[in-house]
Amino acid sequence: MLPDFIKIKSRIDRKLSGSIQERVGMEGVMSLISKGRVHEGHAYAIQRADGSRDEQEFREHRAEVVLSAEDLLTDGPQAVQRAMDNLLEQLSRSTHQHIQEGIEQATKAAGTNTDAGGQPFSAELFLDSIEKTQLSFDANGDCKPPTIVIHPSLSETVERQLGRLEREPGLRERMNRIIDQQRDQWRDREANRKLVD
Amino acid sequence: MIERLIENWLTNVNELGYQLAFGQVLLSQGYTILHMSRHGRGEHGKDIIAKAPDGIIYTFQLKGGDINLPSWRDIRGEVEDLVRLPAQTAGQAPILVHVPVLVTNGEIVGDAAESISRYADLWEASGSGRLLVWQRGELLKMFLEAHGSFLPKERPDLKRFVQLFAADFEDRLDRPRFARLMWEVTRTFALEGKKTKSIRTIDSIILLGYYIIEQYEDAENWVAACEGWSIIAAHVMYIASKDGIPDRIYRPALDLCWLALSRNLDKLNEEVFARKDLVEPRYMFAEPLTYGSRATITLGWVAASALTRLSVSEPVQSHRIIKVLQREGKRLQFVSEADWPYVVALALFLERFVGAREADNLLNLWVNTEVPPVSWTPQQARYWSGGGVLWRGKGGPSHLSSNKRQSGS
Repeated sequence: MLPDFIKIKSRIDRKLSGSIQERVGMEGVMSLISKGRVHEGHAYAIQRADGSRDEQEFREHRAEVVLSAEDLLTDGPQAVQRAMDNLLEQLSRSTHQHIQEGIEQATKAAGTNTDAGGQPFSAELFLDSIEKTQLSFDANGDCKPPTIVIHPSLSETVERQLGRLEREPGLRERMNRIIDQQRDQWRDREANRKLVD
Repeated sequence: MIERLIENWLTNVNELGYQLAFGQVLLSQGYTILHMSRHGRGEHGKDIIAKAPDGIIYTFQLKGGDINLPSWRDIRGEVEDLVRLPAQTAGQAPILVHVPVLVTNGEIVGDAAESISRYADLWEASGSGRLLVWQRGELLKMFLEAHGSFLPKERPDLKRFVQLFAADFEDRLDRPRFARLMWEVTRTFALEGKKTKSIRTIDSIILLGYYIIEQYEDAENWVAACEGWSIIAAHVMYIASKDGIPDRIYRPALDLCWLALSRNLDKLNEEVFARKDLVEPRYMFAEPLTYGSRATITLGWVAASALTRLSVSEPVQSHRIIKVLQREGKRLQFVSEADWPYVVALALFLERFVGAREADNLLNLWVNTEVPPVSWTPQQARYWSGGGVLWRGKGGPSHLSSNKRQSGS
């Protein structure tokens, strides 16, 4: 072998790999999720306020890129940048898919999922779905709008449909009713919340 | 503790791995080495031919590991050559009478001992020398005797030795630490004007250095091994000059260092000529940052090897080196003043084998090269190692170029 700088290269490599992990954590819906490091074990559990418990195994997300010597010699750091972008894309896709699966499983189990049955996204479907979910409210009782995770290609449709909630009185009235009902439920929950001494 | 590490090393190394160290042990016992192949393998079953202090010629065949009956059957032909064929050294008449020795860093196990003894009787009866067998225990005793009390005993030196002994041998040799170890042993045991102590110190530092450098050779890390042998040789020369040791006394030890260095340079050349590029695949993301520096170091050593061969009238494969230089020349990267020896070697090679203009171009490139970031004082930058600069400038070439500054002429 030819002289190599293993210690230095491994530190640089660790830094670059770490930056990919960091960027995956900042992409899309991942940026909304709080993160923590688990130092050992192969599974984790979520203990909810209602006493329910959900156990899950950790899932490995892996990606593969080919960085040929030829590319490296021709393009230098740009070849590495391309490979890193490729890794980032693969890992983002894989982690987002994982999250989506998790949400689907959880909503199914809680009965809060809404099957559109193949219909396109509409304001009516949106109201059906928020009716089943638990909305969040701030300290003043104002509703914190839910986060909608969609494919970028749907953004125009979603914006148009959500605009109908403002424009069409029937839809607006239904939405306000749902929010009022949920605000009452939220107040009850808050009133019954047991505070720590 | 070091004794245990030596035992561990001796037990695990293969026959080529301990050949030069064994040669040094023979030197320490007063033998004169008459022949040791540059390529490792000896002819006619003889890896080493040496003259003992009493004038008797010994021929040695080295083996690694235990010898049982099947493995004895495998090597019997070679051992028969060792015993029955005369010893031949360059330019000398064949030596018919010699003592053949089968050396192994393992043990003779099972029925092999009886079979070896019977063949030794048979060959002796037909007029050859009596075959001797030196096994692990005897070999270890010889190695430890060669060190005598000239082994590091103080905690910092022991720690240094252990760190070097257990390093990542695919990485670069930690030259400052290795040189410090060599220096501490030299300083502790030699340089008092007592020639006997100085000679024993030379034996000890060669062996001590060998235990570390052999592991780089085993990892095929040729440049690290070349650097290690250069450091060892520098210490041998320093002790010899400081304590006024006669040439005939220290020369064999220095020859041994040179043989080791040459073997590694040959291997480096073979590898460089066989490759399409100089890429090292571990941690590929960082590879663009280190490639240019590797090219400079590698080609610098290859050029130095060619110039050395030229100085002793050995053939130089200049056309193959030029081909590699044409391919890799544009990728040379100078990262610190520590690259200067490589630049000199390359410039001298170009001047001799290509042309003065090409040598000038390279020197111009060096003079106008980028130096480490200006935040370091010029004095510091001058003595940063290539690795140190690469790490501190870990933003990569763009980082270095943002701190562009012309070095002095």
